[in-house]
Amino acid sequence: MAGEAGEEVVFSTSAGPVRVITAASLFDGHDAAINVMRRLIQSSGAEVIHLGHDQSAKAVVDCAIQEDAHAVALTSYQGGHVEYFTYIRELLDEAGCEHVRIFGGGGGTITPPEIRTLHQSGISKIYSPDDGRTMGLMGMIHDLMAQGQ
Amino acid sequence: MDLISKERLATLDGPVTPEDMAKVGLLLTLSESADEATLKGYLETCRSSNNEVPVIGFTGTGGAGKSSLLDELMLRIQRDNPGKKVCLLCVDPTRKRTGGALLGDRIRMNSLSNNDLYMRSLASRGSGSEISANLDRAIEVAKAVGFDLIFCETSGIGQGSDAITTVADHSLYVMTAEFGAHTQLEKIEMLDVADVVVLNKYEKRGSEDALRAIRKQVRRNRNLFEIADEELPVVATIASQFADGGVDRLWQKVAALVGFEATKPMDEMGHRKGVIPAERIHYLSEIAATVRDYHNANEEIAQQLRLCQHLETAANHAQERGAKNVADDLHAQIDEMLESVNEAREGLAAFRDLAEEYATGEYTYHVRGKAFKVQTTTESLAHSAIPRVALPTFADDGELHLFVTKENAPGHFPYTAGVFPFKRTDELSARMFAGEGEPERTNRRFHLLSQGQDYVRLSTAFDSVTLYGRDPARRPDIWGKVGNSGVSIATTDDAKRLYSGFDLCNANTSVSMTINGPAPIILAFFLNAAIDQQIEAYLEEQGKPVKLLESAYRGDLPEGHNSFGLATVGRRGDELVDAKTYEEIKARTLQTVRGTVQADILKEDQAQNTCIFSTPFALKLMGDVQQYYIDHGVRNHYSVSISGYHIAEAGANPITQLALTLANGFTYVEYYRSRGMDINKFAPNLSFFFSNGLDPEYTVIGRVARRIWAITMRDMYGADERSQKLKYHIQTSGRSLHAQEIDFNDIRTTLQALLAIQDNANSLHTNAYDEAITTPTEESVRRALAIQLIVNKESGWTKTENPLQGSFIVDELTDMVEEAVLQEFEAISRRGGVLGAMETMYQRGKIQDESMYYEHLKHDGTLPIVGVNTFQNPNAQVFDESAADDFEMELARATPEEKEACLERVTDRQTADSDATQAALMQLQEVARKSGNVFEELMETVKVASLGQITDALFNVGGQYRRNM
Repeated sequence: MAGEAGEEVVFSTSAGPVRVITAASLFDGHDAAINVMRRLIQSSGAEVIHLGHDQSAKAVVDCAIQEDAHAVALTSYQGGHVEYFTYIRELLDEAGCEHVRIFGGGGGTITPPEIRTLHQSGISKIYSPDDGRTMGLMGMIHDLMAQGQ
Repeated sequence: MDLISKERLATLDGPVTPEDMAKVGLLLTLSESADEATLKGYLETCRSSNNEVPVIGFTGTGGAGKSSLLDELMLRIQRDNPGKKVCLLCVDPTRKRTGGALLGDRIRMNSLSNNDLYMRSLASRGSGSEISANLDRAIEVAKAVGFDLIFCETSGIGQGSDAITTVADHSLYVMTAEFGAHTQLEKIEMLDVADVVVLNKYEKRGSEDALRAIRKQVRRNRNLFEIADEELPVVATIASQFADGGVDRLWQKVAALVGFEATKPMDEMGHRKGVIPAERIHYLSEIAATVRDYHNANEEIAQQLRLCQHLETAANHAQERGAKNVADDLHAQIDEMLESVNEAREGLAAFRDLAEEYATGEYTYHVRGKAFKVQTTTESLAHSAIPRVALPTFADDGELHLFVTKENAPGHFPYTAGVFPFKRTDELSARMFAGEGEPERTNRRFHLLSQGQDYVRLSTAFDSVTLYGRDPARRPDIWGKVGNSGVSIATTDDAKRLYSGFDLCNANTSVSMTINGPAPIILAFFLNAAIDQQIEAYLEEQGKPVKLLESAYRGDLPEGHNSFGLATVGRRGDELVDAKTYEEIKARTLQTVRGTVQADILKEDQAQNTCIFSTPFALKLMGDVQQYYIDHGVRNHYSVSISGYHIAEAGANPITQLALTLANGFTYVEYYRSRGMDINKFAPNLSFFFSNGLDPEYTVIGRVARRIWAITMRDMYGADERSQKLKYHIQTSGRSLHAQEIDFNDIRTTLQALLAIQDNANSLHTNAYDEAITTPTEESVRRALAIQLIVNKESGWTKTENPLQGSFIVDELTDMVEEAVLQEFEAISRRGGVLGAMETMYQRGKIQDESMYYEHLKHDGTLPIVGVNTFQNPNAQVFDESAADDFEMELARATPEEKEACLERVTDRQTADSDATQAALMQLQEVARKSGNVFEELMETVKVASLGQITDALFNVGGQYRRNM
């Protein structure tokens, strides 16, 4: 279920609230966007486990496993995003966590062809600057939560 | 996704151990959501242990630093008890309104990189208590799967609560000195029952009294009147400090409770290695007062001057009219005032002389004993003589005095309009900015950009692997970033390749390096590269040239590259000549080399997040670099570029950018002074770096910075003229660039460049329009450089170098922004100065709030952004997956071949002489442990070790950075 921007929508599952890991990519200090997003994800009823910036694929994956999360939401602004996101997918799958969904964003640094590649590699959704414009902030969060739950 | 689906539950088909992370995770999910019988059933199937497992409860007041303390304890457990499996259960409150929760404890846990620690965050989920309703069930799971030790942390609690003791065998209570009156201690339930009471943040004011009061209360509560203070279950700690003796003692007590090993403490409890001495903690409010006093005093003098002048006019008038008595009386009054205004009058006379001289068309001035003769006008096509510096012709002495003291001519105190009388016409303020791929690729770009230029100002961007102090590696999350968005540099040899073909000791060459966390290591690479270049030159001179190794440079040398600097790649300069010659060449090089290293760790912690070492250790390293500069006479190199750029990029408005940055600058001043350095010896090594966006305040950002700095340096620190001159670099705002309608970005950059140039920025970098999405290409960089050239060379407006002076709005903005900055200084001062404010994340919070405000106005359209939220192009190309086939932009990305080369070389370095490498790393650690000058030693270490190796070695002696929310 996705709500209109501005409308309060709360998401939950059979095992309680949706659990989402938030972080910024390895060697990447750009945490402004993920800090905005994690607040909105939380206010949509999720339990947000926030890791902050500079998080390796292993740290994110270990966390997702230990915390038994539904989804990870990550930003990457420093390049290497194709490798980063697909490696996280690999590590999760190896650990038997195919069910954990991966969401991402990186403003304009992730180009349209790369977005396509990532979507084909098992990443649920890379939000582009145009998604931000057309869906709005809350729209993006609701989309993420609906897919994640 | 249903976490407790049949398929998932089917995996719980036999004994589970802590290594089965996913299964443990699922069992913990069941402990939160399944009914009693279901959980019990799975626990029976999955049980692998029936051991008694100690459970430690960890509780305390909110903001007492529990998670930092936990992390420090975990690091000690891992150090002293390798292989022991620890389970950490952390409870945070669920928000009633939404059912959501922020589980934020993991962010501070560096110890989680060790897989012996398993952590699970629990939301309280309507338990109405600081412990989650199902915490006891989670503990059951942890016991059943065979952890060796279980920690439970609760969210912050009030005085009356001891709920943790219902689930834990032992409990720790963490508090700070801020508990109010001593009688409040009687109400704290946990002081009765906790196995250890911890007074954290012991460095804070009032802690010694608090410790005494807590000890007294605990004695009273438990009838422990006979035993010594040390035996009491009360420990004072400073968890934010690396290797804190108090935390060591706490761990000893905890280890004894649960039968774990604990190393004996090295350091005293509560021993604070403070950065700013307690008596200097109010430095920022002193600065605010100094600047205000300066202006107030000059206002008064201006009024007196005006009065004097009016009295003189009146006296002359009376004289002419024959009223001699009146005239005499007036003269007597003037004489009385003269003493207090004489100095000011001399100042006015000097200023008027200067203006007259400028008007003649030619002027001579001196910098460092060197005479500069300049033409003071330029001629337009219409043959008008355009003054390079336009000065006021006020007849009123008071007005002129205010101008002289608030503004003055460029190059004159307080340097509001600029620190030099005239701009240099030979050296352009533009820097040649590059950084991508392997060192050779960036080197080629540098040569391309500097072709035909007399002055070579290289500006280096490093890839993010380097920015975080690591070596290239094949792991995909590292591999993807090697050589992207910057150059990969991991060894001294890499630095030699990077700057090869440029003589780093040439007076016309300067190098700026954008590096912070590992700055001292990269700086040591750079300085060694510079020294070895001179060794190469010396050997050449002696007729004993060294032959290039095959590994020196991959691929062909670019045009203009004479191979200089490459002969020592793969070699050590100090092994090619005798020790005395080496030392002579080294000394000369250090005194000559020009450039800047960013190395500003305070703004990293506040905004940019490329910290790698604990903040106190990172500051110590900066101080070591500065001390080394003083000891070795490094005077043409800036040891730090105190940066507001990243504060602005993270979302701060221009006033906050300026205030936080200047406050950081003064913090370095205080810290270096507290280490006994002479301000006149280090202030000239400091430089600044700001962003220019389009907000109105950006018009005056340089003016305000220079004025506050000059007044403070002269009046508060008594510093000399050279120290009073604040020099800064401007980069146009990256944040103001947008992916949509990407061509419009050059227009924004042009306006920002104009602001910088008319405000006399000492150097300028104009962003390429495509920086919104990628590393700039050759084409976009050329256009960006053209922006500067056009503003500087074509625009008539900038033929006058102080075009802002005399504008009503500029004057008003300058005063307004200055006052706002001073008020911010006072706000930071009330929080214990820059470092005190950082502990409560004041700066970070402020930047985030301002960022949110901007995003909000951008989204609702109040803040118009052309092509983005207004004047949108109906035919614009969308930037999402649907555009994948039409996407035609050239992207700079490192090739796999380049990455392989980087990896191969760093592996060679690591393994070439591993005995020497290990010995050097141990020597470096020894120097750090003994509080010696780490940078002095780094100058040696980098000859045999790689960046990542050195970073790891320093983590062990200085501590790793701990993130904040």
